[in-house]
Amino acid sequence: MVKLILKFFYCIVFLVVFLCVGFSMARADISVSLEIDRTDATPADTIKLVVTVKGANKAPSPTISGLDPFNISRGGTSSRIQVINSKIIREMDHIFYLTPQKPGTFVIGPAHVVIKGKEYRSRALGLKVKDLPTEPGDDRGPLFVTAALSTATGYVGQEFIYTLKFYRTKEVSDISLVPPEVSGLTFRRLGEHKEYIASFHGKNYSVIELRYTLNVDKPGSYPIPPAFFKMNVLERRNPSGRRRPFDDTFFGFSRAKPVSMGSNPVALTVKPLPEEGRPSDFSGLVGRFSLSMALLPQEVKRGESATLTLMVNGRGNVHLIPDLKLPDMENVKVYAGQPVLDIETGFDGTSGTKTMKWALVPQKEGSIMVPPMGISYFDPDSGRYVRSTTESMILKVMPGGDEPKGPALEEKVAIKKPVKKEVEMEGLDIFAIHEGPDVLNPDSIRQLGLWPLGLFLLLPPLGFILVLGFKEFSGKNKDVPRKGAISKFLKGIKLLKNDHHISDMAKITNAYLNERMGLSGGSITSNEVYELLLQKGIEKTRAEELRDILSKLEAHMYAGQGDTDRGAQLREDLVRIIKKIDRGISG
Amino acid sequence: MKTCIISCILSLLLAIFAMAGEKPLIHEGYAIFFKANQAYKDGAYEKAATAYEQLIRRGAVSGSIMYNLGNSYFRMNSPGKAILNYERAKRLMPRDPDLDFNLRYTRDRIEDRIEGTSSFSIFEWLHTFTMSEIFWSFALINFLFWVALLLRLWIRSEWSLYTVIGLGLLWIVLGVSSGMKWHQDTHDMRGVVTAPEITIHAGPDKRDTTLFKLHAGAIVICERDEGDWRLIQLTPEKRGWTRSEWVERIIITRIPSRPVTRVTSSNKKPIEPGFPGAK
Repeated sequence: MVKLILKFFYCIVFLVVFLCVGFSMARADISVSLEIDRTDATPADTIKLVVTVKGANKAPSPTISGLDPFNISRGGTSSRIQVINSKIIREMDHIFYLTPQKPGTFVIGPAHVVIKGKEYRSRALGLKVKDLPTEPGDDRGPLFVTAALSTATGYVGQEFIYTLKFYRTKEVSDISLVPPEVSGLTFRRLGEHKEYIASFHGKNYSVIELRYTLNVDKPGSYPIPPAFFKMNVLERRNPSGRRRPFDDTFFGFSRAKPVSMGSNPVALTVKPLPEEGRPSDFSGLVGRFSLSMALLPQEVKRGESATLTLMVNGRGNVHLIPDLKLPDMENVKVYAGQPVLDIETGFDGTSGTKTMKWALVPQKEGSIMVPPMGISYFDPDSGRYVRSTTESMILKVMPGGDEPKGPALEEKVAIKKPVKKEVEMEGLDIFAIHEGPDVLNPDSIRQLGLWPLGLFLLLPPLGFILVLGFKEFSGKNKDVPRKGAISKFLKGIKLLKNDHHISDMAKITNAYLNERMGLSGGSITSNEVYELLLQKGIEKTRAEELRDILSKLEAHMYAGQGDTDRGAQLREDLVRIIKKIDRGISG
Repeated sequence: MKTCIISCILSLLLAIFAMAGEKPLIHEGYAIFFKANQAYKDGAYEKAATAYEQLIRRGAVSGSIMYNLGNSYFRMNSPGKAILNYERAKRLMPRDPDLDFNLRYTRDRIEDRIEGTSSFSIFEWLHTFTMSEIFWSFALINFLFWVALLLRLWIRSEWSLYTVIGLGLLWIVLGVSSGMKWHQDTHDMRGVVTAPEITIHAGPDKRDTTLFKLHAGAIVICERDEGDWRLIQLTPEKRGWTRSEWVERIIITRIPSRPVTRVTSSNKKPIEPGFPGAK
């Protein structure tokens, strides 16, 4: 029975997991992306092209535009599954190898994929195929580094791309880069490095390519010194030169030789933006930008809302794309949404799109013209200011029965969403010195020293021991009647002015001994006192001394014996011995 | 009896304060400190470093002064001295974010790549606290523990027992931690290479075989000294001898009595606010 219940439980768990996974996979967004391993090549190179279909369980082979000038060979497919935010996302890479047939500038893509009747497409990428160099005999050895700028002359605000290529035919390890330092230039790494095989002067090299974007705020000349790659070059020890399975520093059959390779220096000249022809609405945007505007739906009833979407996209300093304002329109209530800026930093530089939305609620039927909108930017390629504009659009408004309404709830929510940009570092330096007056306070431990600190720690246990000792001491005398017994005795003896009152002396002594030793209060004989004192730990001689005195007192009281003239001496002896005994009685 | 106890405690306190070290400079210290800060701001980093070292020599061994001194050396293009002083500052203010950043930033700029050891110790957390913090925590728990023990003499309730047990456990942990921290602080064998480039030999003589080279900022373990030579260890496989003056111990054994001269090579330009993205 228990086994049956367990089996049923496992089935339910499996079903829930299966449904969750299936649901997550079904909900994953489908997208197609296209990547190439470089943007510059020669006809001797082979370019790797990867089309990634993300979020689809099954994806047919993609159709890629712009591949006519290339010889294509398929490199197979690979797939992987990722779990992101509890969603299972499947990705499939379709790999192709392209060999250019001729030099030129080509646009590869977009790649199209049709999944469940819907077409998905990627972006297109540019590829420059340069002619093979013709100068013979320029052999640069097994290792060398080249540095190049996307353009040697440009304008303030323009994005310059600094490309470093490390060519090698030898095996190397522990490669590190010491980039150049130039005051006034901001270097920012573009994506991950790329590795590929390239031909240089007819020789095949393994190439590592890194790219940086350079931002300049001030015009001027900026010489960029060489960048250095540091590495260990592995040199095999076997004289044949052929690679063997144990050719590794680990096995000791090869040795690592540290080598540093510098690139060529390059120079950058940055010109100020021209004053001539600068538009009044120019916001400092430098690069290439385009605008697109969409109105959905284009036909609404009076009081209903239509969404106007304006997208500005391009390459360059996209963070300076301004928030555009929609001109006033008669009989239309306009609700502006928060603009959203998406910045993408790829190997080719920075690109981005700013999306601005407005909810238009017409108050009157008829045709409403949405006016054209535009932005001004500086195009560094042409060296002039350009204004890009949209075309005007028409919103048809039908009669509506209801009162004009505001934008839809989800649009209101969208309006409230704040724009969030990724914070990027623009510079690095050490933090400033500490200047507060409290910084002069030295470490308290060092100031005091070791011994005082040790003594300081000893204070509490010492206090504890002292209090404990005090408690123990006071505990011995805590019996108040016992403490009072001696004082009562002394007081009573002192009051005996007449030395003949020996019987009173005996009574006082008897009362004291009763009280001091916690007895019932009856009369005790000298011998009983002697025994009790011995039990209380009093020395034998003292106990005997007191016994003798008490015997004399008893003799006087009960038989009238003894020399009454010696009463003063007897009293003195009694006080002395009682004081000694009182200190010695324990408990 | 009470008078006797009070007199004993007072005498002990007086003895502690009498044994406490000499009070450091206060008034003239501020004058030097502000002068050093102004020199730093004016770009006279060498002058600023001299003034900060003067303060340290006069007893103002605080984390912030060490940090400021590290900054001055960084600006003087002396990453070895900068790292040395940042490491010294880290012992006194281990959780300062400015210091963490500057130390990391300076380490990133040194020439030698040195792999960090990944040994694990249960006392690793002690590095995030200063000796003072751990000691005063222990002193507080020590006080509370003995007070609780004292109260327990009169109040024999269950909660007093658990309080004594809890405080006793804390007392043991903090006592051991204080001891470990003291050991860590007084037996720190690390040293920093302060010269731009040093040669490590097989023996304490420059004619001995050269084993390897190290550059400014590398952190090594100082094993022992022989005359002007010091045996250092980078890794168990990389050990050797070098001149003592080129590798300074992080733990302050002696403070230089004269202004430290620049140790940068003449053909090196000062470190500009850095890469990538200088302002």
